[in-house]
Amino acid sequence: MTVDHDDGTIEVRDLTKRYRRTTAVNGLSFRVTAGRVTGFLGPNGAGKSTTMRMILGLDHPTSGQALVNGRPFAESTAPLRTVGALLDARAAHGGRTAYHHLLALAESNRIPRRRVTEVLDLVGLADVAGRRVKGFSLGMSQRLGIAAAMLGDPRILIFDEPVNGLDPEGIRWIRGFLRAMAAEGRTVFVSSHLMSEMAETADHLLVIGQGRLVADGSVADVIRSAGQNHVRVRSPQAAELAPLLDRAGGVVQTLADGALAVQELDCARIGEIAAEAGLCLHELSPQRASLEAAFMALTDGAVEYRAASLAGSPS
Amino acid sequence: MTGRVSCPQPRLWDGIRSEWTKLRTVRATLWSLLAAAGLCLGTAALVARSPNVPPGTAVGADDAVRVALAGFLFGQIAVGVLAALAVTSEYGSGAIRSSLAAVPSRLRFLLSKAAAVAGTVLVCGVLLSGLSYLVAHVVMTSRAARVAALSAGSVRALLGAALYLTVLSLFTVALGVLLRHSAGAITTVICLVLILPTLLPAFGRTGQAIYRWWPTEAGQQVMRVEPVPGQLTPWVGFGWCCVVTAALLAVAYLVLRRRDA
Repeated sequence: MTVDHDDGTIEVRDLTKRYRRTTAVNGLSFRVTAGRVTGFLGPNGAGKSTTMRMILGLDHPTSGQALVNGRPFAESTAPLRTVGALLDARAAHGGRTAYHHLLALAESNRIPRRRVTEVLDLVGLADVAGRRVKGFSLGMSQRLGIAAAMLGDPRILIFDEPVNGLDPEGIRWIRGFLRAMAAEGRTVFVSSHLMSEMAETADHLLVIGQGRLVADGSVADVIRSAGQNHVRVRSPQAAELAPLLDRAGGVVQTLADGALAVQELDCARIGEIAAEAGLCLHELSPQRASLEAAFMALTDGAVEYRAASLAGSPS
Repeated sequence: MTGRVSCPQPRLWDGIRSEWTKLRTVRATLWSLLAAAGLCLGTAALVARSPNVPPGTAVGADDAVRVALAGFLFGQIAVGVLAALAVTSEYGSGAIRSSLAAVPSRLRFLLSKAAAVAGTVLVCGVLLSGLSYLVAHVVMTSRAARVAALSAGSVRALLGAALYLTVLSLFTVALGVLLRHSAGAITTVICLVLILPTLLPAFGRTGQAIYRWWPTEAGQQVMRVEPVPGQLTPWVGFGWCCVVTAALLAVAYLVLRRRDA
């Protein structure tokens, strides 16, 4: 039943990768669809690269499946036209020129020679095409990797930490590039350990921590569900107010500056409670979690609890 | 969607072409082939001038070929280096992941690599043995009265030298896949081809028996002008070397399939 629905989806089912002592990826399930940038977010060592390598058939899962267009990538008849991957900027023989590195890859997939020149132009490496790769800066290597990924003009792009080593100009370029690729209807799956980076680029987020999926939703959803929103309350009678809020169902913490951080109650309710008790308030302000704070909350030790409450997927 | 690159499905031939591009675009290939040429032709020239060939006598065809191929004992190491680096440099640089993402079929990848290396070595091997004979012939005719025309056995030995180098390169490709490290693969080849076989006869009858069936020694019988007493005959020895090489390639394929890249 190998139906080739070339819809550009990546699907991972119950994917697990165990090494002798560690579990790098643990029961991961998700779907990446075409036409949007899907950010794959997690701290270093969370299992992002391992997952991407398994999708590409480079590493073998201990259990579970990784499918591209509904079947294992290793069975692809035209690999470079199906998936363009940037896994490791340094994945080229240092003694070969940029042109020859790309030419060898192109030939292996029967891609015409002129396409090599095209992708070199695309990433802005045309001037150094005849130079050996070992003299390249990290940024240039990164661009060479992107050129290799674009050789087959693939429907699906898998980029592992593409902004690593790029200067601000390069980072702006890659953001625009990824967005443009998604706008053309391609599947863009890009990993990062920086939430702020993903907020700029991604439409959809998959957050993993310790090899498990901890969130799967839009950027706004992820921040909301990270649940770090609270209300900051300052009162000269804080000591009297705190037990009242606690009794009303709030989770109250006293901050270093003497203010209270209240969760589970909104501003209106807190104001009412204070007014009923005749207590004076100096500050009553909702605090929005920052992206980074949400990310930290999602990927810290509470990973398993969060996974159950957010991902909503059987894992 | 932008204009998709339209191209037909890649075939094994495309993989071979790609591997040939990889081979010809790194300096190591040229250097190791030059080293092989220097060792083979240089040794032939030196041996041809040695006092073993007294001036003014007639030289048999077999002697001329024996002299021509004297350098292949060393030349084969350079061929081993070429074949080992063709594989291990991919692991050393991390290029193996680009390669396998482009050619996910491990069978096609290994066959392409093996075919490109073997093809290159076969062509160079034929050139090397032909040129070595020419060098030996020229040097010897300048001293001896007469050098006899080639016999059937000596033609087989000259072509056999090229065939042996080709099989050795395949053997080394398999080793490269298994070991993944350049230094390790090259050291192993030198040990297997030069060092261990010279030690073996010292270990009594068992050593002799192992020596007789040692794959590279057996393979080299095809480049002897006359069958060597106590050794396998030329074609049996070469066939045995091919069998062992095929088996090692099969093991390399299975390991390549199972292993994370």
